[in-house]
Amino acid sequence: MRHEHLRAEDIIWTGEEGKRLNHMDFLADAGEAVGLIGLTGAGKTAIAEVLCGEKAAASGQIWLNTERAAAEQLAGNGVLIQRGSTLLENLSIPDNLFSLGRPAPTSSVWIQENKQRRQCKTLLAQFGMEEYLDASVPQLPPSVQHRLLMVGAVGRGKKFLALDHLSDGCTLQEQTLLVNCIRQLCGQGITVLYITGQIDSILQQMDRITVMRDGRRVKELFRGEYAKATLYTYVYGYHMDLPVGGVEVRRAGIPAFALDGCDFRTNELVTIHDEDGSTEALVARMEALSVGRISVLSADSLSDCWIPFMSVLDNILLTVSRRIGGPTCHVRGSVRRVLLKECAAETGLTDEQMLAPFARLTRIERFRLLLYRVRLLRPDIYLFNRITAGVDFCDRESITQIVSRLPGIVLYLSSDYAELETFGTRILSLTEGRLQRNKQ
Amino acid sequence: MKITLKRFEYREYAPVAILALLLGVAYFTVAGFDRPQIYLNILKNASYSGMMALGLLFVLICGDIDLSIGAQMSFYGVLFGLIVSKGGGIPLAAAATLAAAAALGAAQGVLVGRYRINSMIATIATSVTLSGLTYILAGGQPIFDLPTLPVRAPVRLLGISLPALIWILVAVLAALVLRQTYWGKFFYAVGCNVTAAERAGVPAERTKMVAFSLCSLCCGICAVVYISQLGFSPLEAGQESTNSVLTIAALSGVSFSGGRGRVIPILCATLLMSALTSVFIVLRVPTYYQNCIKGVIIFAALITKIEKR
Repeated sequence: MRHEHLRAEDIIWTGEEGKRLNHMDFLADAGEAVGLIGLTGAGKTAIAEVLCGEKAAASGQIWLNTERAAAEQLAGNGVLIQRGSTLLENLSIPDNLFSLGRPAPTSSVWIQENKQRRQCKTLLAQFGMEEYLDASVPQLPPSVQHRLLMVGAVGRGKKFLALDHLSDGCTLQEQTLLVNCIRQLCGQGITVLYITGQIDSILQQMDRITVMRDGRRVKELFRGEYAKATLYTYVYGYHMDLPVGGVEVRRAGIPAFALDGCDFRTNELVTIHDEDGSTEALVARMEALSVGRISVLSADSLSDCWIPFMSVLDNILLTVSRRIGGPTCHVRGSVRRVLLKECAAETGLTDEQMLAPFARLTRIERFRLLLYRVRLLRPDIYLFNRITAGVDFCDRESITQIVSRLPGIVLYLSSDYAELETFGTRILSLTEGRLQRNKQ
Repeated sequence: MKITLKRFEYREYAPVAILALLLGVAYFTVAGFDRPQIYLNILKNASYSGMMALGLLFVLICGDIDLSIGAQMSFYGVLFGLIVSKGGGIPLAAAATLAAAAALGAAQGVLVGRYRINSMIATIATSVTLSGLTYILAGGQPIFDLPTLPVRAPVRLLGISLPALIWILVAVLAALVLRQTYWGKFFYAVGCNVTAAERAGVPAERTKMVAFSLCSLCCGICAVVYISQLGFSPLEAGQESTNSVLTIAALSGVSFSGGRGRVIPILCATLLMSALTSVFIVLRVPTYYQNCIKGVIIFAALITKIEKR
């Protein structure tokens, strides 16, 4: 019989961009795996931060084990592990897990290295991770580091773990390991909050799902009570028809080049399923064979390739200046006007948005802009490398629709097989750098 | 998945190898290097910049830098000399100087840690201010007549002079703090990734404050020992020390972006610089050539830091 671990009522929290939590309620029992789903900006991370004591709510009440709790007590009870959270690379695994942390690991000043190592080994063994005891932190993939952070938090006596978008960009194998780890933690009485923007396989393993919209809880569903369509309805706030079948292929294919027994045609969207980084080898071979100009776009390109405080137009001008031969100090007004008109027409941005700083654009607007900028460089092949990692499903659909309209050879890489099945003409499965399957 | 064990950080131990090579060659080829006294002199000469380098190590591990160490040393030297000359006595003067050093370091730490001021700018400001204050305190003249000082006190243990003994003590303490205490791990954590460290519960602001405080404290100790040995307080006691200490840090493989650095390579780099100077003096190499050769040796040591791209 589970007992109530964490309850929040009527939480209000206002961030820099306005009210993020608007009379939010939350409930989790001890040892329960709770899924938290909602669109970007719904307030998922904000409530996790409040429940972990990282932010103090403006109003509302939180009970920890049926007793009123302040932010300090919540910080001692819970920890938030985000997608960007990593271990500290210059410290060993035992140091990362036992020398740091809140509450303080011990009242002693001195580290008892042997004792700490033994403790660490025992803890890792409980989760089948003892092989990582002497591992070099920089060489561990993020998913392993996340699991080690989770285990470390338990070692420091945390009873509530909030996992913020940890499965984004994970392979199926990594997702399975994450689910197993969550299940083990729950078995030990730890409450786990799993935050996501997608209806993925992990979410469907949760005991309870809380759906958030506009800073508040709109529905709470228990295992076996929900279907995809139901969740979509609560997340969006209205009923919608789910996409069925593939996207129509609009252009006739012309053979462009063949590699490893697989021909790539212009104006064709091919999706690639890859779990082990085989696509990098494919791209390297394409470059070696000089099959054409390749533009690789990843989720990071949406933010990394831009200067956030410069206006959208100036960002585009930088690209143009590169195309016309080096940076120019002075750009003629006529060039600016033409570019403003052309870019606005292609991306759907208003003049006001074009002149505003890049940082104000939404993800989809950034994606459109990125594509426009890439097209200025006239690539022959587009490779979208896990471009939808960390993207909510409504944005995913928009992105795939834009991708499917691109000219040239379009390769769309993802480790989410279910996503790939919804569009494109065929799916290539790559493993260990080789083509394993070419499914039409 | 293949798990790789932690690799041996050969870069940090480059000065150890170069020092061993230099002393080995000098032993057989340079006159006087077969006598123990010269090694004791190298140790003594290394101790002042060595102490400051150990202090700077804490700041560098935190990912910051302190460019005011030279000015601090001059200031603490004058402060110490002034209190002694006014009849304050050595224990009181030393205690007051070290307290001032710790407080000034903490203030710098607050500027950098809490108010997020770039450490380079904050410490340059401190340096300029202290340079002026040093002259104001001393009235523009070195402070002579420090009667109660045990000038050239023959305090020795196994032939090792007092400054070298204090340096070794400071080094042992620094190594213990960095390797065996939770605070030591905090320095590395903050220098490695301050956000991740804060999220893991490390008090980043306080850690930086302690690092700067320890750095200033080392400068204070260095100044007290130096003035005690010298017998008077010059106005520019630490004038050249910032460059030499930074050179030692660079040679020792300390990461200037933070998160990496150890005590033993710092000791070896300090001894290396001191040994080089001794070799040049014995060989009567002109000063200008000495600087050029030192520069080339530093470049040679830094080749080990070049990353493959």
